[in-house]
Amino acid sequence: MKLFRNYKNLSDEDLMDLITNKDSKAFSELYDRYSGMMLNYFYRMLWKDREKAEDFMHDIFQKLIEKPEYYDRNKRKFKTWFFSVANNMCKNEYKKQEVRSNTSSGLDESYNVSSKEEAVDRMFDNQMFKEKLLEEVNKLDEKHKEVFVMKYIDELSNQEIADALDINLGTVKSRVFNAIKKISVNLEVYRNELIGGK
Amino acid sequence: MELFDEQIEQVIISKEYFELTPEEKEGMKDFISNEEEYAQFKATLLMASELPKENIKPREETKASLMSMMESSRPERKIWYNSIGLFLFPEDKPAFAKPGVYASLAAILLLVFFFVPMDFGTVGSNNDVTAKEENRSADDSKDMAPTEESIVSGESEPTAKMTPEGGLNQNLEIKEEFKKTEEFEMADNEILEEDAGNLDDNMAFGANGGGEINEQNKNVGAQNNGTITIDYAARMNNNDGKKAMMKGGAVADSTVNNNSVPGNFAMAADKDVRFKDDQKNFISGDLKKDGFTYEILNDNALNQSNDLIDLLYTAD
Repeated sequence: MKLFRNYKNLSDEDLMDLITNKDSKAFSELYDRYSGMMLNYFYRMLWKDREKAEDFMHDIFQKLIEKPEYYDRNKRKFKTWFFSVANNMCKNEYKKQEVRSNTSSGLDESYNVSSKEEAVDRMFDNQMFKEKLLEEVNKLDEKHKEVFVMKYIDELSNQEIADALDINLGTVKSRVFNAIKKISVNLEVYRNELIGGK
Repeated sequence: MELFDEQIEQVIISKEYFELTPEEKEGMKDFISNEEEYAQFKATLLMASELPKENIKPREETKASLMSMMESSRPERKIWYNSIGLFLFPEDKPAFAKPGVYASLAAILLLVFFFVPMDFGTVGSNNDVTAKEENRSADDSKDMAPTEESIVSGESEPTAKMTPEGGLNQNLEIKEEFKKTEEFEMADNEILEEDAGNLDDNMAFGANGGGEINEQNKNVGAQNNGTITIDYAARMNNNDGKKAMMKGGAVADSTVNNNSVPGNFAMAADKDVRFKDDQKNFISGDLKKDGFTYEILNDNALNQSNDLIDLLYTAD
């Protein structure tokens, strides 16, 4: 028996077992692995609202502390389960925002679309193209957005996304394709510049 | 219908449209119909793969808050001695009102009682002896050289005769080792006639009364040349020979007192008592006509008896 456990060598699932037994070091290790990932996920999924993303990231880890038994390592990997929880939190937030937008002007500055003139002015700026891409991502509907973010930003595999969202693998592939197609069409104005710049 | 999977993505990212094999074109015809569309996909996929993975870092205070939450979620360890500790040393009471303080003091006292050697009895008896020695010394200065004393003799035991020249005088130099030793008691039981007046007599007294009395009686015996009384003095005084000789056999032997003279009668009744008046003449009656046993006849004799007792008590 080892006197000192090396938490960094433990899998996410093993850490969760320890967290169930109130092992704070295991929790600390898991937090270090996923806090950044979750914060940025929430940040991208929740309209780049830093405060909201921090709150959601805090809440999801709080759920982990309070109800660690909700995770069943025999059913799925921790990563996909954790993203599914995060995704559900985002969905709930979308619903809340939808209710609010129905009672307000519905305008959201983060959803502003730059005019073509502005885009042309920035077309040589690769970074700005990426920002435009992200803007287009944010314009995606919920189910396409979550898949796109998980796949290209959080770098989950199609199978992991399927597990996290509890949908089949074919659906994931289909959503990924549709998300790319929508973004591609909207970014057509930049495409020639990008390809030409490469 | 083919699905848009990771393999197709890799082909799009890695190849230009004109590089595609006919099989690859056939595989993605459901998604991409021409080169223009292929180029749009390629641009988007390239940019998506370069998207920043983590733009922002979590705040430190978020982790601190969660860690404290994690710590507080731990069930408190209930250890039995914690409750004992709280009982003994309650936080809401001053020090003098905490049971643990008293328990500690009691424990210390018990430790002292059991482990620190103390002999109060020895100390007390030593004090008695010291006091008596002091009294005796004081009296010695008054009466250092008794010349003649009464002799208390035994009742039924064979008595030892002491010659006028009396060996007891020789025993003035009684050895210290006879005092308060087991040998004294042994000597008491082993006393013999021929020992009378000798050192053994003194030993007999010593057994019942201590070394001091031995010397006193030794003097008495020597001066009066009387019947040996040493052994009897001890016996008639019920194992308290010292007391009998020192403070009056009268008291101890009152049960055998058949005369009207209290106190000193014991000495008379038990034979062999002689008292002297101021002129050192014997004044007591000869009850048994044996020349040694006298009855105390008057108050003067009684006083003399007291003198005798004092003398016995103080003579060294």
